[in-house]
Order: sequence, then structure tokens, then C-alpha cells
Amino acid sequence: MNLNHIVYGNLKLSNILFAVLVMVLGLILAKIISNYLRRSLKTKMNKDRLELIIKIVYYLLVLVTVIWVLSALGIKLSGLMVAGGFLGIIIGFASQSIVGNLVSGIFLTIERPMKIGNAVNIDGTVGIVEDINIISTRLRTFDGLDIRIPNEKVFTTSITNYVSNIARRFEYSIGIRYEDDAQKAIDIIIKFLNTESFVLVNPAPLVFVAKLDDSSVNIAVKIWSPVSQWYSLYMRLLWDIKVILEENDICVAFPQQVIHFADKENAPTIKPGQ
Amino acid sequence: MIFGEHTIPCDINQSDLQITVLQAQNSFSYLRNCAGNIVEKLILMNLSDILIAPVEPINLPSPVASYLMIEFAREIMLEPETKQTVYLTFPIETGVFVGKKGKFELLDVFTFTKPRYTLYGEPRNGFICKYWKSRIFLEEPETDPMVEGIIKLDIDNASHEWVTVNKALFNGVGMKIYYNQNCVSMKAQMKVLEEEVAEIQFLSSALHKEMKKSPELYSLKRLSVVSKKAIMLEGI
Repeated sequence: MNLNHIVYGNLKLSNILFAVLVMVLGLILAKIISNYLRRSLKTKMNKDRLELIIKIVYYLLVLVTVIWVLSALGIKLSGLMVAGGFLGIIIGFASQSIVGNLVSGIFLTIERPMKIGNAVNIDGTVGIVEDINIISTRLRTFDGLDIRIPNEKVFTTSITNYVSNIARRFEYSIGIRYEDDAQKAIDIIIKFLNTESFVLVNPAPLVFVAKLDDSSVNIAVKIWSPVSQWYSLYMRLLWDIKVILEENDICVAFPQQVIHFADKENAPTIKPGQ
Repeated sequence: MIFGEHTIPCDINQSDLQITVLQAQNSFSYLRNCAGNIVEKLILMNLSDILIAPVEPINLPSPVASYLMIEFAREIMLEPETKQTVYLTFPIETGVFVGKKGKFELLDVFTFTKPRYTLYGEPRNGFICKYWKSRIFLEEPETDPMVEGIIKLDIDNASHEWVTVNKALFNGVGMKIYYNQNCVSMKAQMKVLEEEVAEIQFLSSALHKEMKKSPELYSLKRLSVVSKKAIMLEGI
């Protein structure tokens, strides 16, 4: 193979091979530096900021490598900028959705409605944010599926971030029998909640009679807890409250109906067991 | 005598607490039973000591808070431009460290208190804090050092108004805890800047002579960008 073979103009085959080699080495170097930064800064800053810094460093290194390679190939950057400008317009028209996603990605990075690791609901898709790229956002659903959502959709739809605040409230409705003492039940529930570490002292839990229902007196229980603990608490406390109420002879009501017969004389008599 | 360094093997028994460390072929078995809460660990190292000392009370049951908020049982009213000293109590968390030649690593933390948490400020920009309610003492109170420590709090009302103080926020980073066998203590300074704004920082001195300083789990060496002051902007 003749390395001095002229490919185009003054461009030799050896120049192209050298440029490819430099480009590959540049990409490998960028990857190595990214990995080094990820390892060394992992425990020193949150994942969201770390990923942003790593992406900036990676793309800067790639850009520097590309510029250097182009210069080495004798391509004038000023000419390339003009050509790139025209090319950009053509590509922009040809791929509006990609540009839309790119711009949305930039705005998402600036607005930061969510961070990597947050539990979010994006237009009905619930999951943990795995990555926010410049084109798309990746979610891992709670059943382990990987979902890629274009940034344009993320930016223009509603996002519910379940963990952006440090505390959140959840609630139960507990129906007790009409013959039970509702105030006693409220006192028992409050006393029990005051023994739970992750039920916040302030804002204090609210426990009150919320509804006189068909078959039950409904007691609303509204609890604030640290956002990192709320779901484990939410899963556990309802049953604990039910058990502690029953230990105090207060029972959860079953649906029931009292029937009054207009003709009591001829009303059927129902014996136990019938 | 629980706080301080212990040589291995050791067996500490005191009312509801049992700590047993036994040596076996280049390793140690660690068993702790604190009121029925049992932890067992295997430590793979050679010659070693055990250090038992109070640590920042923000670790248990889960390290979700960086601050300790102490609510006062009674409000304190302070006239303008005056300084007063009060004593508060704080919950004790005891750390068990393993190591040698003064270099210790945290092995276990336990407490005899029932941890509670509270929110200081708003859910969006407030803090989750470890919560403790304390009586106000004008003289140093007597406490059980395994359960409660003492904070000597100097309150400086630097404002030109009367202020009412019913809580104090302490940053877990930079807590200076000192101990002996009878007492665990901290010293802090609260400067009231305005009616609703104050800043609190710890002082690096012991309440009594010959008290030892506890290792800091949340020292500035590990968190160099974190302030060690607690700024109370959401009421005092």
C-alpha cells in the first residue's frame, strides 16, 4: 500500500490514516478521562451534576480532537464554519424533531425539573430518571423496564417529581364502626403515630373524622414524613393502625344495611344460622 | 465505665447494654445488644482496640438528617443586646470504633433514645432535622450520659428588639462533643440577628476539664464545601 498516494488535492493516504488514528486516540482519551472523573468524583458530588460535568468534559475533548484533526488535514476552519452554517440550516430543516429534542434537552438542563435518580411521572410513565441526554431522557420503571422519552415530549408535557421536596404527605381513610368511640380511636392513632420515628413532629399528623359513611365512621389520617422514607412508612402503617385499633376493641367496619319492615306483625323471623 | 478505649477481648455489661468483642485467629467477633436490638459483626484485622464514644446524634435510625433541632419546653424571652447562658439536653448516640494507634473507624452506633424527626422550614427548601425536646436549665443539669448530653448555649441577642426563642438548630457538621464517664457535653453560641433569624455554631471547648473529645463523623475534612454554622431563617 502506497501511503504517499494522493487521495484528494494535497491530501495523502498517510494524512487520512494519521487523522483517523488521532481521532480514535482522542475518543479513547476522552472516555478514559470521563471514567476517571466519574470514579474520583462519585462520592464528592451528586450524580446529576457529575454526569453534566462529565458530558461537558467529554464533548469538549471530542471537539478539540475534531478541530485538531481537521487542521492536520489542511481543512480551513473558517471555510468549514461557513459551510457548516449552510449545512446546519439544511440539517435543521431536514430534521426538525432532532433539533427540537436538542433544544428541549438544553432547556431541561437549565430548568432542571428533575435530577438523575429522582422518581418521576412523565406523561403517565412512572420511573427513576437514569440519564438526561441532550436528545432524550431515560427512565427505569419500577418493574425494571428501560424507557427512552424524546426530550421534546419531556419538555412539553407535565412532569411530577415525587422526590424534589424533602418531605411529603400521605394519607389513609380508616372506617370504624358506628358503635365505636371515634375520639378514642383518634387518640389511639395519634399516640401510636407519636412513637414512629419517621412520622414528622412538625408538620404534625392530622387525624380527624372525615366522613359519616353508610356503614362506617371514616377517620382521615394525614402523615408527613421524609421523602426518602415515605413509601416504606406508607406500606407499613395502615396495617399497624388496624392492629392497634383492634387491640383497643375498635374494629374496622364492614358494609352493612339495617332493614325496617313496615308490616312488623308479619315480618319474617330469621333465626341464627338461617 | 463505658466511654473510652477498651482492649480486646472485652465484655461490657451495663443494664440494657451488652458489648462483647472476642478475638479469634486474626479476626474479632463483635456482638452488641442494646435493649434487645442486636448487631453482630466480624472484623478482619490484627491487633486492635475498641473506642466507645458519643457521636453526632443524627445517625439513627437512618442518616436522613444533617441537623439536630432542639425545641425548648418553655419559650425564652431575651431583651435587646444582651447575652445569656442556658443549658439544654440533647439525645446521645454512642459510636463504637475499631482501630489502633489512635486511628479509629466507626463500627456501630446505638442509642437508648427514641429518635424523632421534624421539618424546619418549608418542604421545598427546608431541612429534615433530628428532633429533641429539652427543658431549659439555668444551671448545669445532671443527666444519664448514655441517654442525654448537655449543651451549654450562649444566646446573644444582637438585635434591637426583644426576641422569643423556642428552638435551636444545630448543624451536624462541626459538632464538638466532649465526654467523661459522668457527662457528655457540647458548647454552642446562638447569635440572634433579627426577630426571626439566628445563627448557631459550636465552640471547640469542653464543659469541664479533662473531658475527652469524641471523633467527628461529619468533620469539615470530609465535607469541605459545607458550612458548619446553622442559619435559622424560618423562625427561632
